[in-house]
Amino acid sequence: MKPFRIFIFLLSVLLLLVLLALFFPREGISLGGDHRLSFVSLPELNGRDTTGISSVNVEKLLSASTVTEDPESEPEPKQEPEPKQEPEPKQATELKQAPVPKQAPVPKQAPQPEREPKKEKSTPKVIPANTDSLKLSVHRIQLTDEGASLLQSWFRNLEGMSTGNNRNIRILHFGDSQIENDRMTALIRYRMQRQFGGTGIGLVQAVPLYSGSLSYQQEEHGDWLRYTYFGRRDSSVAHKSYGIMGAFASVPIPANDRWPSLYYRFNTSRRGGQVQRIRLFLHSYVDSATVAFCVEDRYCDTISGIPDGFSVVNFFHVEDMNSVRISFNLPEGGRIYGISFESEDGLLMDNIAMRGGSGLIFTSMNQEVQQEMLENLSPGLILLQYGGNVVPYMHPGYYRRAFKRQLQFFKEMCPGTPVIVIGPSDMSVRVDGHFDTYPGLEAIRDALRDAAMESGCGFWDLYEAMGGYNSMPSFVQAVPSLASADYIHFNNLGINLVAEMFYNALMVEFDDYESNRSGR
Amino acid sequence: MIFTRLFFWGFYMVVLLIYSGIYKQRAARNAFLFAASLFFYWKTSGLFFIILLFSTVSDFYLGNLIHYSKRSGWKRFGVVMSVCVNLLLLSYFKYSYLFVDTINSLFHLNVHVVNHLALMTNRLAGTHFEVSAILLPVGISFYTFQTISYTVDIYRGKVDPVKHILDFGFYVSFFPQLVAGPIVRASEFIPQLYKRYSLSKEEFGYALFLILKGLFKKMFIGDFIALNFVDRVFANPAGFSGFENLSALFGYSLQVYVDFSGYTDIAIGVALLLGFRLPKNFNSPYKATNVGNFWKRWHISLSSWLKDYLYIPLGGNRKGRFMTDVNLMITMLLGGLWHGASWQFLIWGGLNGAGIVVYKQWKKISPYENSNHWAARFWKIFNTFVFITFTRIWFRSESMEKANQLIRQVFHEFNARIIPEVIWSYRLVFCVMALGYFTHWVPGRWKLDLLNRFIRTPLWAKVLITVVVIFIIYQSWSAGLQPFIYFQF
Repeated sequence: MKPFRIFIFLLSVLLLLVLLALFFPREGISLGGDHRLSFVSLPELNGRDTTGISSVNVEKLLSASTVTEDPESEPEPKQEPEPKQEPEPKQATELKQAPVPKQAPVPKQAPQPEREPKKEKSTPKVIPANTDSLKLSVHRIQLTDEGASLLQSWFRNLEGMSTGNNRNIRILHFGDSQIENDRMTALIRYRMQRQFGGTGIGLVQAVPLYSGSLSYQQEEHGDWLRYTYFGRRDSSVAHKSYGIMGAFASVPIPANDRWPSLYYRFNTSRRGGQVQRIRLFLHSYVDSATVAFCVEDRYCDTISGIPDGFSVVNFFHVEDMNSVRISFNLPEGGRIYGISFESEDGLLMDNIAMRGGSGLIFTSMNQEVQQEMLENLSPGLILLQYGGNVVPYMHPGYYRRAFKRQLQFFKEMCPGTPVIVIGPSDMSVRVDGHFDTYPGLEAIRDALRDAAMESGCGFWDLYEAMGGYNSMPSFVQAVPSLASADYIHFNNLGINLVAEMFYNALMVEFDDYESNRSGR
Repeated sequence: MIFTRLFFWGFYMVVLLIYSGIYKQRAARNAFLFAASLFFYWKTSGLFFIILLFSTVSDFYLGNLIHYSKRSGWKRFGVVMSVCVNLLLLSYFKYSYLFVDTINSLFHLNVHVVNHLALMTNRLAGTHFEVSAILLPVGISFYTFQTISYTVDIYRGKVDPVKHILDFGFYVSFFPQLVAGPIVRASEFIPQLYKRYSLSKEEFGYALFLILKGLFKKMFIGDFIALNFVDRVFANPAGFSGFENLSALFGYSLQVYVDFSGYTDIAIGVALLLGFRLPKNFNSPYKATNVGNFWKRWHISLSSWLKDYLYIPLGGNRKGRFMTDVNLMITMLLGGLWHGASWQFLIWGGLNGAGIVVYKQWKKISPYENSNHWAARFWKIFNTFVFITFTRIWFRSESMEKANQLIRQVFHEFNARIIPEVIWSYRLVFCVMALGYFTHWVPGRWKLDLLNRFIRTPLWAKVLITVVVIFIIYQSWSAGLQPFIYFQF
């Protein structure tokens, strides 16, 4: 067979395909349900061949920057403004530590909120995100006067911490699966702890979705079970006392004198693994419950007489623990709402991820337990990062109203605490072989922003910060890739890039605050 | 994969059109295909085609030196130079990061990779190449092994050197197999350089069948399960239950096969339409009855290369039972490293080597080793397949941490109770996986029968079948993403 005949053969195939593309219905042929036959159209063939799209090459950018998959692998700065560590009495323990008194917010002139101009959606083609600008330019947090005032009050406390006026300042970072497994939080925490002092990973669930991290490893002994209010709820749980993490672990009933326990081994070479204090949020069903802490399986301390109902058990150790075993003697069982691994001083930041969550559960859960936890944790700043899970399903107007109720909840529970809402990232849906931003995503982003602005909170527009309309395909196709192949979730590198962008945005506000203060 | 892009098929049709005018003139044909291959490589790799040219020129002249030298010392010098130059080139581009990372972690240093080649070029030529990173040229692992086989085969007297450097350049850079093999031996390909073009109708049908099969495997099966399931799980194993991790692992075992063998099918078909025969690279590998047998069916051109140019020179099985096992392990460990520069690939290679060594002992005591019963055969195939799939944990995981996460989820968070829900939610993915494995495991005679039927169809029917297959592939390629399902566990 001669090459020219082969050429004619291929040409015939091509001509037939062109004819098919010309005459095949643009809307496809329905096969019932969501299934339909489709074929590429000639205009699409000209302009929407996504297989040929050049990926955003961020390799150079990432190799030049400090963003890595593991923020703690970055070199520490030589001079670090660590607050002085005050010596603690050896193995002090206490029950129900009194909440740290909050400082009243000081009103202050707030900068005008910046609004990003809305991008044109005239073309369905992928618009590659300009990752240079992602890293180098700062996408500002949008703040109302009230929000700015609260934030500056927090900055004052932050400054006070380095002068010894405040020992701990806490940031609660709530979010959906985008921040699961300490993603995003880890980098912000690391940066802030490096700047303002502090160690420890903060709140973790007793039976977490991810067992351990680079900072610690966990083993559970006994029949521990995890229950969540978000996602699919276990119908056997009649109450709504899930705590501020929206989840609890049921403490097994001791059997044959063997107490159920949780064993933690810390990686003390990492900031997250340097732990001097443990705070346990639990609920016992009967009086006289006992919890034992054994550091390195040698230094043991038993805390008895824990009353029924909600309690906070604190445990101190004079130096970083390499490992600790927490054993529970709760005769009728109980619940653990969270365990916090902390340093005595400095900044603490908690990662509270709710897989599949939309951030609307706080007002419908039992508020008493949440209030007790929040009072004890005494957060200085609250971050709420939601929106992605409601994009295909929820009306923006309803979401705005429902989310406002959640913001109101936090304002009532933690008066004077600034709240920053972080909007959803870009998410793609596949249409005829190419990727487009989910319809309705911008409306949900707007709903969250409006809710934040109307509630006197801050808003950080992650969607615009990462490039806006159709930026997710650029993150997936970047080399190295910055997002998962589901075109929804960032990978570790991508989420760290986003985390650094948010950290930079927060620090710009802090710099503004310092400039204004020194200029006064 | 370049074969799934429209650009490639446009390029190929232009090549075919020009080729139609010159295919009878041997020298012009080879020179044209060399130029077309360089253009192809330039489009995929930019200025890295200079590295390809360097490898081509150095090995051509070293091949001549080996062949025409009267003194054995010069012959030895030539072959050693060729092996060293090629391996240094490969090591520089592929293993610099692994080397530096290992040094850093062993001695607690913070050494950074510097691209000295780019630095030197910038100083000498005033260019502005990036010096802080070393990028891997496409296909370097394949064409360096190919040129090594050329000089070693000349040294061994198995092949005469190519007479003209353009012919040699064509052999090294032939575009269908340049990027991802198969690794073509000089002794297999060079005689074809001097033969007239010939392609029977049956061969045309076979080539077309291979191309369509390859596209279907890669785009309909591989891309679909990767995009909608496998990549998601491997990106974040700890976020999924043990069952999902295990499913993704078996999905990946299929995906890596349909991707790679699909690529090879297309490469062989495309080359055959130009009149060149490339060796078979896959032979139903998941029908293997032991690990050694698997490596005779999987990436055959690489495993036979490693056997002839590494295992046998190391001593093969000629130095006793213990040294045979040692040689096997060295071969498989280096074979693992060839696939990628990380400790995961070393572990993967080591596990495969261990699998071969252990099987050699096991078969001596196995009660069913010589049994022809279908149950015994099924058991052997099943065990081999599961073992090979298990080793892919390290082949696919981007880091040791992720590999450990996957294992942990499978053994500690299996969550059997959510199996029906996972299967139902990802039913399309599981259906495509089932189709992939079914088509792999059906008897070979069924596939041969289908091939023969296709070959016998008239040309106009082949045109229609091609259009229909492309239409079907488009349905999978253009399908919406399977939704991300959250399973609480």
